[in-house]
Amino acid sequence: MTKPERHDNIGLTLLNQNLVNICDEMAVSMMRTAYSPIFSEGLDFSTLILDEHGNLVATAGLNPAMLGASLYAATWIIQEVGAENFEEGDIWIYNDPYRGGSHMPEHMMILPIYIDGEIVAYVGNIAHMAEIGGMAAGSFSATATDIYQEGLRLPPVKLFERGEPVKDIWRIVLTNHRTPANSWGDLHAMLGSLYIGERRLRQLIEERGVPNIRKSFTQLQDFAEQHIRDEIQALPDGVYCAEDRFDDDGIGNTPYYIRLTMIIDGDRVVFDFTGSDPQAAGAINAPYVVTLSGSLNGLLYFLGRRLPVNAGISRAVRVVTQSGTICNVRHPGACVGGQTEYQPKLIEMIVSGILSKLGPDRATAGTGNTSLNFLFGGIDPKTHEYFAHYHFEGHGWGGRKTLDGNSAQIMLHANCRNTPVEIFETRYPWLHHDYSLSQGTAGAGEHRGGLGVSRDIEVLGDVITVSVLADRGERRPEGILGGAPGSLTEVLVKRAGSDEFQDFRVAEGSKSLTKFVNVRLKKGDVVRLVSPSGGGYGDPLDREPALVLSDVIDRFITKEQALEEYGVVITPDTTVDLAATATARSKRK
Amino acid sequence: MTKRDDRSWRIGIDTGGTFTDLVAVDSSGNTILRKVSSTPAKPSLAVFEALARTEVNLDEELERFILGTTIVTNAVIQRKGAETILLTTAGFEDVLYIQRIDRPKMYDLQWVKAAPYALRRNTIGVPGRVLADGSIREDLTQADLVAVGDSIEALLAGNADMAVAVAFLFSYLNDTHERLVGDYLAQRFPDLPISLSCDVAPVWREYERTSTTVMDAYCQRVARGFLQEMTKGLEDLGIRERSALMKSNGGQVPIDHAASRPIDMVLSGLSGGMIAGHFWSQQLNSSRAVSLDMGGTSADVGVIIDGRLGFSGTHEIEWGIPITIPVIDVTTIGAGGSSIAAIDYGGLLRVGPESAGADPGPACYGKGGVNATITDANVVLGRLDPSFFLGGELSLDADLASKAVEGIAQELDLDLVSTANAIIAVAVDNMAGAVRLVTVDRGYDYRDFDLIAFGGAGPLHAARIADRLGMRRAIIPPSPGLVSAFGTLIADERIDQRITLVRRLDDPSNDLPVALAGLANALVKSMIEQTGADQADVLAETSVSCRYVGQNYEQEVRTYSGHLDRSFELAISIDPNDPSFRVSLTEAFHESHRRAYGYALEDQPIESVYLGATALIRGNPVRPQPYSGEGKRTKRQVCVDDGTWVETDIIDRNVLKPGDQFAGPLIVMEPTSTTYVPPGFTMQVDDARCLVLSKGVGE
Repeated sequence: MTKPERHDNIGLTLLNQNLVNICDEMAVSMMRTAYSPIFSEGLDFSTLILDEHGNLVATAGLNPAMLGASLYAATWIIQEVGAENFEEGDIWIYNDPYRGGSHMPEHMMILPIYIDGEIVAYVGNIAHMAEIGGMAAGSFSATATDIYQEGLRLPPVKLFERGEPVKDIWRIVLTNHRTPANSWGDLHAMLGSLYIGERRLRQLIEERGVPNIRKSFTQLQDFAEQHIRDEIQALPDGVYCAEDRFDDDGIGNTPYYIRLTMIIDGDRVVFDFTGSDPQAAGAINAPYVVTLSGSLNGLLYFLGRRLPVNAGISRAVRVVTQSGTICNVRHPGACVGGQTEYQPKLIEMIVSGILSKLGPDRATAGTGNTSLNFLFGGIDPKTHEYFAHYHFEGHGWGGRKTLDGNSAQIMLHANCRNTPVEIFETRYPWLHHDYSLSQGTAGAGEHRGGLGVSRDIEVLGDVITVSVLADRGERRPEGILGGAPGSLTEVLVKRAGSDEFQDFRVAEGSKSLTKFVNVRLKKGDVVRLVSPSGGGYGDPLDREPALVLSDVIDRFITKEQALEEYGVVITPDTTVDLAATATARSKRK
Repeated sequence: MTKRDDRSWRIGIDTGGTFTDLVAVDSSGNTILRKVSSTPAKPSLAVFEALARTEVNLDEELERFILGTTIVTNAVIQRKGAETILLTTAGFEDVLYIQRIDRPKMYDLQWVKAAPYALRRNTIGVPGRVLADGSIREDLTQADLVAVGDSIEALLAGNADMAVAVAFLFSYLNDTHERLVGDYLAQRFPDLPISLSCDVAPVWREYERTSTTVMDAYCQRVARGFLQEMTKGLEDLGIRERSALMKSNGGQVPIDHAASRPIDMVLSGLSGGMIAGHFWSQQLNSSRAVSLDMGGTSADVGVIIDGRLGFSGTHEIEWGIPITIPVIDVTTIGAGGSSIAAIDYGGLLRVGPESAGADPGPACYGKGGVNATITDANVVLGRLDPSFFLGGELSLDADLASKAVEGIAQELDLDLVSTANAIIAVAVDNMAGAVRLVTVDRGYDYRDFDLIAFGGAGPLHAARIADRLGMRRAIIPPSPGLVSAFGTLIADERIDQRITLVRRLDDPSNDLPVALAGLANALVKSMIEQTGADQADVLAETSVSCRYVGQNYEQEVRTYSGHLDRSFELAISIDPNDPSFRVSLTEAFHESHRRAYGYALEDQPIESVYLGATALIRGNPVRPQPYSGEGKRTKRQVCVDDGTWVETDIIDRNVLKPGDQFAGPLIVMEPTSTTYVPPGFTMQVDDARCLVLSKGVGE
């Protein structure tokens, strides 16, 4: 690798900004025209610019979970199909996790840009389509046991050929999705975004000339590689281990372990997953790109610096997995949950498990860290058409060295927004009783965890089918450096006429508390979704009494909790009894 | 509005963080400019000080006085408003804490979610539930009202100076419960400020609506206090009835009517610049322009499309704290003269968003700042004259500027001048990026646009930004540093309203045109009540924001513009009896979608989401004549963009006459700003005395 001259950096900085701006423009267009709330409210997509070989040069930082797939989206097609078989005006689409995808809902589109008959670059995007068929509405089947149950699987195929739509492909896709009108709109949003990207990138290439662009694309990747290597070099060499587990895989009752050995060696890092469990029967497995994505995202959090994100950064990292394990699923294993439940676990193993040893000032305690995917669908009684929705919840972050965890936040590996209650109820036949922070559940600590959320929703229509793919039903987010653990995921149901909430194991006989599909609910049934609160950081007995008091006044904790968890005595007129607090705390230290 | 011939002076004042600017112009263009230090502790002092320093006889010669103020803006940003009680639908008390669950940037484990403006301890859940179709599922009883009142009484016992915000689910469809609570509380607590979401922001998405309503309540006491101060002072001067305030929507409102919705003042101090940008675009027959108001800490970017200024339904106070009211469409980025240059990672240069502010300010201010800023870089390059900053009121220390920039140079392993040029290049690119996004976001190509640059720091960088993007021309209006104050005195009187009404356009029975006409009528009526104007002077405009059924974002389609009681100018009749309404709206929506995103889905059904209406009375345009004709021409060494030093003409703007033409490099000096014309650019002075910079040799 040749290190670029320092004074080139300014030019590269500007080019990088230009490319990221183009990706932003592509993203805005996609957001504003998409049909599924998961696109337009949830922003669950990425936009890409790739070099002539398909290597990632720039991306809009919307959903980092797609980082791994971004690195492989184009290179895979080029390898399998051969760039010599592309033609100007082609647009390729695919979603196969066994060909470099993350999971099947995420569709990748690639458009080659030709100048004088030669490919100079590609623009692309990756987006989560809300419904792609399969065994359960919402295409998130926790109990799928092979990929054929997870929806319509597309190898690289042409959606457009020489500028004309390939109608047969469109017909196959739209016939196999439950909500084809949505899919149709979302596909158009993706296409519109590609065309905008193509237009802008062509302008840029014209301005700078093809040879210059080719050279700069290479330099940008070298540049990113050099910077991440510099950052890694500054870390102490060493071998660090972390482990996390799934409660179960939705099929059996045993936990599944992920085991990571992180080796920092000079200016590179090895993430070695040797020793992780064999792949599960259920859908919690991850393809290799998801493991790569989680490792890179964890590292970027770990470094905590703004780095240009392109293919260069992956060259400083090696990810070791064994085929046939939960970290590198072998065909035909199911894997829709790897992206949403497994990847965040990897990130947390790095930013909490390992960073608490290596750099505790920057670490966080355990985060709520489940997407709590809640899928539902049914036939709209008014239109007689299928409706389906992919829903997720925020959770509590872990406490930090000087800060409490943030409450109600999306997972660290994603950056999606929630669906407002008023939009939710306008579109789907549910009634919310409650959408609130789950008070009293934060992991205590000198800095406490953030709070998860609690949502009670009642079925208004005649029948709705629901499915859940979540975790953390049995293992709480950990506290670190003396902090207490956070709280568990709860998925409960109260049948019409009953006044008792039950978990789905009791109510429906599901194997898992947090993974089941196609439970039919009827009018008046109420579902309760509770996401976990984060773990605490540091000894709760060291928490500033004024902060404990403030939490009592704001009803985040009770007076009883103030005493039990923090050793802080609150008087009947709601002040801190400092003397009694000192005594209570000294007894426990 | 009565107008007497001898009352020919209009005065606009813009209160900024550091200076309070005054521009007075009479009907023949005679112009007075004043700048006084702001008095943040009591902002009205500086306003009256500035008024006292004009030679205008206020009692006899003043036609109108318009104030743009940042008082509400600052109360909001510095969190100095009233402690606010929030009433929500029971079960949804945490709406301000949950927000939208996303975050502004990746890979930052130390990020802190924006703190709510109403605390959980001051939040009360209220029974009663409206459904998504507007029907009432659960009633709000008298007993519930009493219980809420009792809870509020208990809170007021701890702090009597609170305010109340009420935001219930689906109140934009059915406001019964909010009105019940509002009426009950108004009776029981006559002095308590109350904001209802159905009045403040009757639009969907509960977090955004609640956030907006809380912000309104939060500002009520501050706004009241300030307006009382102002009203009293203006009364003493005998000009209260001739005084008005700038609103967030870029319009002015008589000061006696300003207190009704304080959130309308959030962008008061900012909209003058946007209005002036629009005015100058009209003077130069520029139908598409981007205005760039670059001051000390930030740059405000506005868009003019087809001769119209952009408006928006939403604005962010800080990341994650939205307000959804009709506002002038402005994008603010952290690029101003005091923006700090820093080395980001392993050698990448970054400029802003951190700012040295006014205090300590750039290193060259000599007030203890050590960070290199954009202003320091301009001093190093010789583009700013250290002895003539702000017309000589502040003298700059060139050595301190060099020292600060040298620090960056060492880290970059570059020489001083290349580093200063690099700082400018990065700042220019940041601003170009903002210009690019605001145009593209609206579906337009920036290469069809002019750039209108002002504020103290805008004219130094305008040519480079325009060049970077291939924009048509860079235009520098007269007295660039006082353009915001000038904007206030030409603003329209304006009332806007936006409501949510979801209706399918293919449903022939829908009530869209009726609702739209009703909304426009109501606003025109309020305008007449507020100003005493003739209906003939009041213009109405309406729009419908639509989307394809299934989409989640909407595109605004303008439907009507004209006098409600006379013939209309354009577009789509909103006469409820005219059957062409639905068809025309459908076609116009397809067209607007096609223009913005490159395609239309002709066979897809369309639905409305928002209806918008505006009532306005056009302001009177005047052209200021601030230039005396006297001044010097000198020369000095200036470093141009490729790093070479060139003996450059320095011209006092006072001597420039319409028709003059110069080739760059050139520096134009005036007290409030400095214009840099790079080599390869031509500068022409137009009839309105704007400087028009374009690439290449002039005609």
